[in-house]
Order: sequence, then C-alpha cells, then structure tokens
Amino acid sequence: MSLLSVRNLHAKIAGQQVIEDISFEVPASGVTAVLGRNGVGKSSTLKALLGLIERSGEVELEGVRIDGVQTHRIIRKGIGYVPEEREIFSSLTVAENLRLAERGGNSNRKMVENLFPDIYSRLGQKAGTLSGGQQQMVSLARALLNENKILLIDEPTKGLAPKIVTQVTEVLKKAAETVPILLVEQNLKVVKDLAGPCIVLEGGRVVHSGSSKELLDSEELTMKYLGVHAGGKEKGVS
Amino acid sequence: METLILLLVTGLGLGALYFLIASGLSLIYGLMGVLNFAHGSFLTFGGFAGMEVARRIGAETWPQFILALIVGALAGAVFASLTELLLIRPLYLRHIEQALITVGLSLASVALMEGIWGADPIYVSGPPILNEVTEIAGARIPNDRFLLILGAVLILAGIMLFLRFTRFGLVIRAGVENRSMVTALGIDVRTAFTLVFAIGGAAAGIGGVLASQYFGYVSPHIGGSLLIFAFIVTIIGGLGSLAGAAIAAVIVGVLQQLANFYLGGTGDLIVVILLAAVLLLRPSGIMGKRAH
Amino acid sequence: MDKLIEFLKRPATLVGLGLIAVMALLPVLNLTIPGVLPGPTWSPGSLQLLALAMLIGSMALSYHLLLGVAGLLSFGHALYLAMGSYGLGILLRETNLTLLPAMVIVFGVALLAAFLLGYVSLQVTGIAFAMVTLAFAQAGSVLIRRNSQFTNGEEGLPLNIANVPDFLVGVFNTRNLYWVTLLVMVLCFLAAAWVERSRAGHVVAAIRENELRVRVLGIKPLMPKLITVTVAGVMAAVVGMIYLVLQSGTSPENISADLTLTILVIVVLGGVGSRWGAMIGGMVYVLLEQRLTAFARSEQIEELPEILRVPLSEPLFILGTLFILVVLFLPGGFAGLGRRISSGRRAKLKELS
Repeated sequence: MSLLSVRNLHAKIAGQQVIEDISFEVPASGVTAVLGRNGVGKSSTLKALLGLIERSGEVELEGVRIDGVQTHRIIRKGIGYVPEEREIFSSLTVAENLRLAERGGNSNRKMVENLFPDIYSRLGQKAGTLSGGQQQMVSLARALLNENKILLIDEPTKGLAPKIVTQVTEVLKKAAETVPILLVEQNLKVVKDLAGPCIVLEGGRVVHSGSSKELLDSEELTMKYLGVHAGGKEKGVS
Repeated sequence: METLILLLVTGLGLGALYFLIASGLSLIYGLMGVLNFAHGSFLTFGGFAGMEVARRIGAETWPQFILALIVGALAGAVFASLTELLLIRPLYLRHIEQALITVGLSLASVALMEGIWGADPIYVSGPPILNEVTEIAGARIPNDRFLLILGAVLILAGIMLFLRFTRFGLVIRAGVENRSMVTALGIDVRTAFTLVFAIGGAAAGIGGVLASQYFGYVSPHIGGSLLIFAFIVTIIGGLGSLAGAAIAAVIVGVLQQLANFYLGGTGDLIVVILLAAVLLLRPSGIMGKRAH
Repeated sequence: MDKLIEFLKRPATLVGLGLIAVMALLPVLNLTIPGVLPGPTWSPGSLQLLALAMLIGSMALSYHLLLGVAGLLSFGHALYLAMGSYGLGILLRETNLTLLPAMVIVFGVALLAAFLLGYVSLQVTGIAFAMVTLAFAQAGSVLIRRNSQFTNGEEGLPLNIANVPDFLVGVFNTRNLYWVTLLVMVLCFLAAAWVERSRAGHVVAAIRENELRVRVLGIKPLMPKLITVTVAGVMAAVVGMIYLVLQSGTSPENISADLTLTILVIVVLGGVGSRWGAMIGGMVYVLLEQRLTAFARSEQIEELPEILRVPLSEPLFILGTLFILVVLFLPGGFAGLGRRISSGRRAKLKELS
C-alpha cells in the first residue's frame, strides 16, 4: 500500500486555479520527485496536500483521509514540511526555531545533532543572521526532529552554492534511509542522485509519471517535459 | 525647570496609559491582523469592575487596591477572550469584517455600560498617598503619575518575560513573523489568538483601574477617548512590536504635554501631524513588521 | 436617442422615476405614517426629518463610492461634510456673498482639498490609509474647536441668513428645502452610478478585487482611486452645505469619528457594494433613530425584567448588536438579503413554470 494517495486534487490561490485533477501515489520508502518547469504548480501541490491553500479532492495518508483536515492537524499526523524559501523565523534564535518545531513524543534530537553539527554550534544566534545554506539546514533539521511518516520538501537546493548543494544532498540521502520523501526539485543532478519514482507536472496537471532515472537519461523526455538537456544544461545553450 | 519636570513626568504617565492599551492592540494586530476598535471598552470595563470592588470593600489600603487591580485585569481578560471566541474566530482571515465587527462591539458595549452604570462619571478614590505630591528637583509631582508609570513598566516587563520564556510566548513571537509557517509546524495558532486577546484585555483592564485613579472617575467613555491615542501610538511604534509601542507611547505622551504647554494647547494636533508624517515616510512605524 | 429610450425603459429606471415622483409629491399630500413621521407629510416637522434622511442617504452614497466601489476604508469622511457646512457657514457670516456664489467657492475649495488630501492618503493602502484619513479628520476637528472666532468652537456655528434667498428660509419654506434636498439626493445617486459605470469606476473595482493584477496590466492604480476619492469628498461637501441650510447651523459633532462610523455602519448594513442599500440605509437610519429612542423609552421596554430592559433601552446597543449580527450572518447586508430573496423567488418561478 502506498503511504500517500492523492486523487483528483484541485487547488486555487486567490481565486485562480493552480493545479487541476492531480493524482499520484507515494510509496512508503525512498524519494519521490515532483518535476516540471517553473510555475507549473509543484509547490502548490505540496501546499494543497497540507491544506495551506484552498483545495478539493482526496488525499489519504496511510489510508486515512486528510483532505478536509486543518493544516496543524495534518502535520501532527506525522508530516515534516520544508518550504521553498525555507521560512525560518528570523527574529528567533536557532535554538528557538528548533524548539518550536519539536512536537514532543520521540525526538530525533541525537540524530539531528549529528547531521547538523554546524547548526548546533550556533544555537544562540539569531536565525536571520545565518547564511542561506545554514538557514536551509535549520529548515531541514526542523523537519527531521520529529518522528514523521513522510517529508514534503520544496526545492531545498535553490539558490545555494554547489558545495552546500552537496551537503544538502547528503543530508537528504541519510534522511531517506528512515523516512519517505516527496521532493520538489529543479536541480536535476540532485534528483538523479536521490530519486526513485517521479511525477511531472505541466500547466497544473500530471503529464508523466515513472522512473526518474529513465526520464533523466532520456534526452527526448527531459527536453519535452523540463525544457533542458539531459545533461542539465538549458535549452539553446551548448 | 520645575514645570518641565512636571510636564515630562505627566507625559510619561499618560504615555504609560496609552501603552497599556497599545500593547494589546499591537500584539493583536501583529499576530492576527485584526484591528480591534473595541479595545477601549476592555479598559472601561476593567475600570468599572475595579470601581465595583472599591465600592464594596473600599480601596484606601494597598491590599484592597491591588485586589481592585486584579479584578480589573480579570474583567478585561474575560471580556477580551469572549470577544475573540465569539466574534473574531468565526471570521477567520476576513480582516475587514473582523475590524468592522469590533466597531459594532464598541458601539454596543459603550451603550450597554451606559445602561448599567449611567452616562455620568462616577467618582473614585484610592490609597490616599496617590493624592499627595512628591518633590523632585523642585517640581511638585502628584503621585498618581508614578503609579501609572510603575504599572506600565511592570506590565511591559511581564509581557516581555512571558514572550521570551514560555512556549506560548515563543508561538506568539513566531506567529507575528509568519503565521502560516507556525501552522505548518503542527501548532494550532488559534489558542495563541485567544491568549493574545486575553493578555491585551488584562493590560487594558489594569489600565482602566489606573486611569480611574488618574482622572478621578470612571465613565463609559474613558476607554474610547484614550483609544484614538493608543491607536496612534501603535501605528507610530509599528504594528506588532511591543518595544515599538513602548517607545512611541513615551514620545506621544511627552510630546503632547510639551506641545500643550509651550505651543498653546496644540498637543492633539501635533500628535496627529506626527502620525501623518510617520505614515507617509515610514509606514511600518519605528519598529514594525510589514503589514500582513 | 435610442440609448436614452432604452435607458428609460429599464425597470430600474422606471422604479426610480416613480419613487422620485412619489417623494416629490409628499409635501402636497396629507399622508401620515404614525410612529415614523411626527406629523402629516405636508408638515414642516416631517419634511425636515425626511430632508435630513435624504441628506444622510446622500452621505451614505458618497461613502459607498469609497468603500463599496473602491474598497477604501476611510475613517475621516466626515471631514468633507464639515468642510461643506463650516465652509459655507463661515463665508455667509464673514462676507457679503450670496448663497450661490458662496456655494460655488466652497465646492471649489472642497474639490481641491479632496484631491490634495486624497493624493497624500493614497500613498499608503489598507489600514494605514484608514489611519491617515482618521488623522486628517482629527486635525480638522481640532482646527474647528480651537478657532472659535470663525467657527464658534464647541457651541456650533449658526446659519447667517442675511444672504440666503428667502425661499429657503423660515419654517413655511421647509418644503422648498425638502425639494432641494431631493434634487441633491437624486444627483448624488446619478453621480454615484455614473462613476461606477465609468472607466475609472471599472478600474477601481478591479483594483478592489486584485490590485496586483491591475498593475501587471500596466494600469496605474492611483488616478482612478484619486478620482473616486475626490468625487466622494465633493459629494460629502455638497451634503454638508445643504445640511447647514436645512438645520440652520452646524456643530463639531459633524466632524467626529462617530459620524463617520455611523455612516460606515449604515453602508455595511445596507450592503457593501449596493447603491440602493446605502441610500435607503441612510434614510431608514435617520427615520428609525428617533423611533428607536422612543421605543427604548416606551412602556413595553419599561416593563421588561432588568436584564433585558437595560440593554434594550439603549438605542446604540440595539444598533451595535444589529451591526454585529449582520457582519456575522448577512455579509451582503440587507441589500444582499433582498437579492437572495428575489433570486430565490425567480428560481422558484423557474421551477414551477
């Protein structure tokens, strides 16, 4: 049985339809990627799953319907969310950011401390003064602190230097050993490194699903759905 | 010189009163996006509650007076919490309707208090020491000003400690910055909403008891007449910032007194001009966050 | 010509013309509406009340342009009413101008003021805009109260009738004032409709829905908003001028936040976005307000147990509570309710046919 089942998901932002009739399954392990060009509705899909935007359709987590449930209750069922733009609280310290995320019960604090030594050495620092990469680490740490059934992660490598991208990828690999991840990502190298299955969106709809390796190895499919060469270069650039 | 000191202390005293209202307004707007026009009624109701306590058991001794303060705070907190639960929560995310409903509440609550206690001022008195005067550098300053300042400072400290050291305080500080992310961490912000209303109501209620001492009476209109200045303080200080409200309260209170004395009674006008200037040059206020 | 005939044939126009005719005839009819009007419809007392009701209806129309059409929440709209009433009053008292030239001057000043103040306040939006308008009104209030040599301060400024034409002065000529006020209200209604249908009106309504989208289209939002704000301000000033003549004076209450809030309550109760709701709401409010006060003091209320008597004997409590209930349960106001009922009836008819 899949961990997360999505059927006929529709969502609106400020009255505008952003995704339409989206259906897919997320298995109980590994990394599932959500791919597509800019603006096709990838982030909106994650937000719709969590009820952060107006949505309709059927969403099941471990067989239990969560589509009519309020966001904080959905999260408490065991979902970790790492939003695009990180959205950590700049006016709070690193420690406070982490403390806020702890939901009680079993905490993975030891594991997280080992994964993010740099962050844990800066507990008293105001989160707004951290670098982009460090903020991303805080955002990831937040999601890993609790025992979650699934992680929804939105473009974690966006705007980061290549060295940091590698670090983030390592963290995600380690996390994926214990919890399934639904990953929105534009960086195809990262996707190739991590992902098993994938779905591709276009114009707010699912246009392809299957193995991400097959998709990214195929020049034709990659160009068709993502507008870039299979090597990761932009269309038109040699 | 003596006049200047008297004006400064009086200004601080009035600023203290504005802060007691503005603190709630600022937190409520910062966390919830609600502009609460009924906040003055929280103050008035607290003042009447304190007066009823004084009427029954007297308020000349400090224990009695402190009891009146506690009752005033509770009255304000209860009134505020009920407002949030019954009127604000059903209109979640509809900020214009929420502001409008507080307008209706302010009209109805003032009328109701007029019906219960009458429209005329009811005179109150407290510990006799408040009617006496202390000399500072030659200026003779009535003690009630010091009470106001002390009250506001204690409330400010209390709220700041609460925000810094409790989990609810953490949730509120985070929520003021980014409400939806707090929800995305699995936290039900609605409890924080009611709490913030309750805190604001309690501070206003204490303000009501202190105001009745300062002015010497309670009437259904004391909250409303202070509310406009509390709003100005909140905006100048920056919606959502407690420290900003405190700083702005001092500025507005002192400026008002100085302008009234040295510039022929133009205190109110100067404050209004200051508000317009702040809104046009730095709309987020001294220390405010951007609007929701 | 065809367009005019089309316009005249529309049901709304026919109803409107019919109503105007009825209203115009009231002063020569001997109708009594017990409980609402103090006397038969030809009596000066009733005409005075009806004229006041129409003025508030016109005021509500001007506020409807701000809130209902442009989506701008203003807390200082009473400023323009006061500008009209105090401006005209001061000119009539201090100069030898006759009524019409004085009115033209006040109109021009109000136009300029509404434009300038509007321009300044529109530099900010939302709550900040509301606060700036409040600040301006407060400043005006302070100016009025402090410059007693011109404004008579707290006591209010009486109307100097020396240069007012005879046919508008005196109790027996109340009917003339009534007709003037009716004309003003009709003009205000037409002006509001014209603004709403104009290009500026459409743009401003689009801005109200989604300002970002309008900007993306390359339209600068400031000008249409400014036009709306200026028209609304000038309308209020005209209402203020007639108010001065009708009530033979004006007072600082007319610039208070209370008045703006009352108009706000009226427009919301009538239904934000509805011209008719605002206009009728204003008229109903005035007619009911004195009725409400009488009701509050009536015998039936006196006999109620204290827990009901105390709140119900305060007319503002009833108004405030009604307002709360409407905001909670009737978001379209009473006009919305009317629409729902009429569309429900139409649907029923469709079902039956």
